[in-house]
Amino acid sequence: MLSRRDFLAGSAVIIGVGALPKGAAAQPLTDFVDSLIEGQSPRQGGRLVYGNPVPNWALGQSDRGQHPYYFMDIQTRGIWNALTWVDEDLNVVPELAESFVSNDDATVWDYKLREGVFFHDGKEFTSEDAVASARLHAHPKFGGVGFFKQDIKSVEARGKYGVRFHLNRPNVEFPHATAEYRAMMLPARENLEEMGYDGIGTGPFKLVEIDNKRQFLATRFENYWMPNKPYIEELQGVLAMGQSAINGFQSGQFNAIYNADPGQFDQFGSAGGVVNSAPSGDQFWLVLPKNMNLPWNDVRVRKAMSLAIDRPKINRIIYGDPEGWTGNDTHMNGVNKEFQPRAVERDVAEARRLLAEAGYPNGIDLPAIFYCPGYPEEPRLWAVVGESLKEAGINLEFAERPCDGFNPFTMAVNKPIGRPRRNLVGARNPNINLSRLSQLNDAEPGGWSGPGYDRYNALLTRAAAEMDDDARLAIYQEMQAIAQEEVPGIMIGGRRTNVVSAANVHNLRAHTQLWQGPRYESVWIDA
Amino acid sequence: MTVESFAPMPLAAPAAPIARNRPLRRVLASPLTMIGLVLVAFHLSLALFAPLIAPYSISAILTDGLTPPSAQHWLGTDQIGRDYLSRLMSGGRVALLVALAGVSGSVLIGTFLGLLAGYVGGWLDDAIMRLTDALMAIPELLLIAILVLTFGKEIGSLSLIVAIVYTPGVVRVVRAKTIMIASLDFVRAAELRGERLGFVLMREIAPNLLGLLAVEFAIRVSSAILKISALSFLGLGISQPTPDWGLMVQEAMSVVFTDPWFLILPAITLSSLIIGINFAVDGLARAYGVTGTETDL
Amino acid sequence: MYAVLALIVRRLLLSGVILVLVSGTVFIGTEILPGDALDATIPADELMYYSDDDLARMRAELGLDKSAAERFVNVFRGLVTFDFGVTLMTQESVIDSIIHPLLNSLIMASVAIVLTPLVSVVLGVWAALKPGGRIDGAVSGATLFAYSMPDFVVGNVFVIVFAIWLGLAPAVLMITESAPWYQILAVSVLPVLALTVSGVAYQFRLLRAGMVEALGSEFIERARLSGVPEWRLVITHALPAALVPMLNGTAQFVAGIISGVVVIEAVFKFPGIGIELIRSISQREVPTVQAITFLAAFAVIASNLLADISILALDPRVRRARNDR
Repeated sequence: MLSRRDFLAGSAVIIGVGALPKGAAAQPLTDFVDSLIEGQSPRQGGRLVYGNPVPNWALGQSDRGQHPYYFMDIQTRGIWNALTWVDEDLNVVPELAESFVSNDDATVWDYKLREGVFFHDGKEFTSEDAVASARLHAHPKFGGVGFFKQDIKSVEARGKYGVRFHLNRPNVEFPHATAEYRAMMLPARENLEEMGYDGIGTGPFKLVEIDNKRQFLATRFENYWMPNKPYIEELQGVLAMGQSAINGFQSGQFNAIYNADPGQFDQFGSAGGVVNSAPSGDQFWLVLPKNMNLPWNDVRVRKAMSLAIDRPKINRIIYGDPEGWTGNDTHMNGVNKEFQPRAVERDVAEARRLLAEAGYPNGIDLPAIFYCPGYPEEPRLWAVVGESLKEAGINLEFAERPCDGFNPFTMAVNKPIGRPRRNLVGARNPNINLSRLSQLNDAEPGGWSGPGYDRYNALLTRAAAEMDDDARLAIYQEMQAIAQEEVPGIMIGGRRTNVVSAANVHNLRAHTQLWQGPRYESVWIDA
Repeated sequence: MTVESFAPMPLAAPAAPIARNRPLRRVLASPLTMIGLVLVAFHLSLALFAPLIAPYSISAILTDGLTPPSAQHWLGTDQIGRDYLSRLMSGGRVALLVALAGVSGSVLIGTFLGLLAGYVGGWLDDAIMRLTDALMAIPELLLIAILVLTFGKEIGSLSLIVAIVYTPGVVRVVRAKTIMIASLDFVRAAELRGERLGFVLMREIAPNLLGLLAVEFAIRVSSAILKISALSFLGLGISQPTPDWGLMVQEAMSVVFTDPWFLILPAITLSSLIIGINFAVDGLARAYGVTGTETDL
Repeated sequence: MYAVLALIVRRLLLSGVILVLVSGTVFIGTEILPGDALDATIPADELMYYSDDDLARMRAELGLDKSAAERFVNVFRGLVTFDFGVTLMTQESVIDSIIHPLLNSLIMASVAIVLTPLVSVVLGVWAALKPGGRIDGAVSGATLFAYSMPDFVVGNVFVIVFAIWLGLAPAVLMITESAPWYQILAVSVLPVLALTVSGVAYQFRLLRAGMVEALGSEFIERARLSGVPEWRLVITHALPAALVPMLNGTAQFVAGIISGVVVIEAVFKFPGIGIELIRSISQREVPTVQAITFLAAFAVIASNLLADISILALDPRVRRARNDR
């Protein structure tokens, strides 16, 4: 699927990227969309109204939803497109790019842009827009894509349909970064700071109206680059917290729910909903700051915590999913083929022994960990975690704070790590996953240090430049082993992304990386 | 009553012994009042003894999520497998404790200020009443909410907040009654005897407020319980894993179509307490001839 | 006439004084009086996350490095001139961020404030026609039940019954904050109904007590004996007498409706000021909380003033009585 046309001077190397299994070529985006509608005769028209029980994640400013950074939910691909897309098997494929290719050491990346792509205002999408968008996303002050800020040194146009990225470090998995939920392609503006606020993208729907605290409405973009797509005429998204999701579905106001509470699956089922779950989804990471005088500075306490948490019980009670994977104390996801499970699932006796050894034979009180109910089941999830910790004599309160303003709240103190908290972690490729415990991330390792940390960082650098898939896999597994030995933070585990839809809605599929979202191009609705 | 009769006499009551017995008998004769008193007694003992008589701990996870009623769990288990009966039994403890403690405080402070304002009058009256007006101009739930922002939501803080919020209402009622009583002969007599202010307020006027205060107390406790539950429902009050009926209603809403009992049970339990208090208050107020109290929601 | 005017001016001045005191209360309530607000608001086990620099910076941000008096003057000046400043988190104008929710709530609350007394009066008259009768019993019982049901339960049950089972109203209010007033009004039906239930329960009890008392008076008894029909007695004699205590309770009634609005908005996710209040409280957005609280108190005081004036118009005797106070 990658274009073999060499537009990089000299010999170009085409690389199998990220989770792409050796030899298995990922399906191009258009083929994927076509494969979904094959044998069906989609009806044109109709209206998809989805309820999203996930809180607005961008400060709730009602007048800024036109910007992909502030858009009401993480499903930005309804309105915009990115250069690349990550498919359902976590392979990266071109979206607004036609192909991408790197130099030998993966420090320079060339993207060839798709021709004949238009913005909602009728202007053609060219390298000028791509360069300006990339510069915005990587801008130290206004930029909103962490992996761009981390990796991109500079970006330049190469003709009308070519873009070249120069990176700070080798990164064979860079095209995953250009598929991120904020890395959307926007019309260029003279002043980077002004970009994005007009709500104009290249996506399948044009934004008509948005109240960022509540809902948005978008209509079909007749000039979309994928011919004759999308099928649906109108797309409406509504934030529907708590009982609103089930109420709206039950009353027929919604014909889909994204990220439904697994505890409500039965109700959706009896209301005629069909649940579609992805193989995996977001995980919950506990940031444990070790730059203050707290008990968990002692590795034995952290190990005891990880051993005490009853992860299988969470899968059973909260997700009704005994087969689910359990967190391995890195950001790796059960769906990654490089994933290395922890050696012991749960051992309360060992946790108690470690605590006693660390000087807490009668149990221990730990400072509260903050979370915001980013997913509707989270308050119940943390209650189960708290109870299972108690069984090992660990008293730890999980304190709820509103999601709106959660980041400023957690980061207001103890910079650059902030408060003990749970971070939501998307399912990504191993390089991005594992970089989040390295020196590239200020907060999430929580001030992890020492020889293990140094070795971990060295291995990450090696892996990012390692072209051989098997060698890279070995490095990734060694890194996970180090993290499991030193437990810089705790990965609880996670949920499988789900979509509930009415029976007459077709091809609405859940994606492991939830912001790669439903591909609306294939979705259609029966009359 | 004449100026010559020096003994302090209860207001509007001809003879003390009869007055003491007759209302009580009247109360016991009214079935609604009896129902009210029984409900209140039931809830008070439940709040006191719930941890002793509840079959399980309120936080222990015993099953894999929602289960229907069974021999082990009479009301089933909740979404994370906690015994629902045990949680329901404890669901009013915090609200009731906070309401009782807070309203006791507000009745004490309110009576004191109301007596002063009503009896001393003048600028003191003006100052106290305008402050009262100002506090009462802020809707109760809003006042509670902003005070939670300042003081926090621990039991002590919530009690203090309830005390602050309900004081102005008590001040008003007590002041009005004090002005009325102060004009009566036996108070005039005490003044003529040259009794000190404290004596007049505490020995002459205050005893005549007792019926009124009892009714005020009960009404405001019921109002405070509703407000605390509303606060928890809104996510600003009592939080997990402490059970609270308001919080339980809020949690129940997400499974209401498959498990409506989780909405109905805490709602009925909460309103049975409120109905109980209201029945009891109505009966008592009628029996003791108390009027002019301000009931509110 | 001059006396009435003087009385109104006096009530106006008094309302001004109360408003000043309200802003003082709001200031104290949100910024706590003695010592350092930061120390008081940050619990001990929280304090460990703050370095001295953090605390100093936050003091400066919150203006706590200034004296309490200075801060009070600032807050006070802002509130009484309706200049509510900017939000802490996003530095946006507070009034801009709450104006739409405010107007939406105003629409909903006004309907409830007009509707509640009307329903109460109708029910009150109906019940008073035959005190102790079957209708009286039914209405009294129903209102007592409604009175004892928390409004968040009533609201939720209304959604299930009227929106989901009967399909008479939308279960989820799919409307933007800045929608035109008629759209807001259209989705307000169910919230207003839920709001009215508890308001009616309260007012009906007040009204019924007043009417029963009035109907038992000697004056009415004499009229009754002289053959005036019962419905005329109720409407022309008992009702006006019972209305005055109801009007006297206006401040509390309006305050109660505003408290109810907060809860009902949360139940229905109505794009109003109650939702904004809950949001700003949980975010500790002090300027927004101050603004909303102050405006709520302003509404209470203003409606009370109106009620006072209508009492003056309604009952000449009160005019004299009020003059003595």
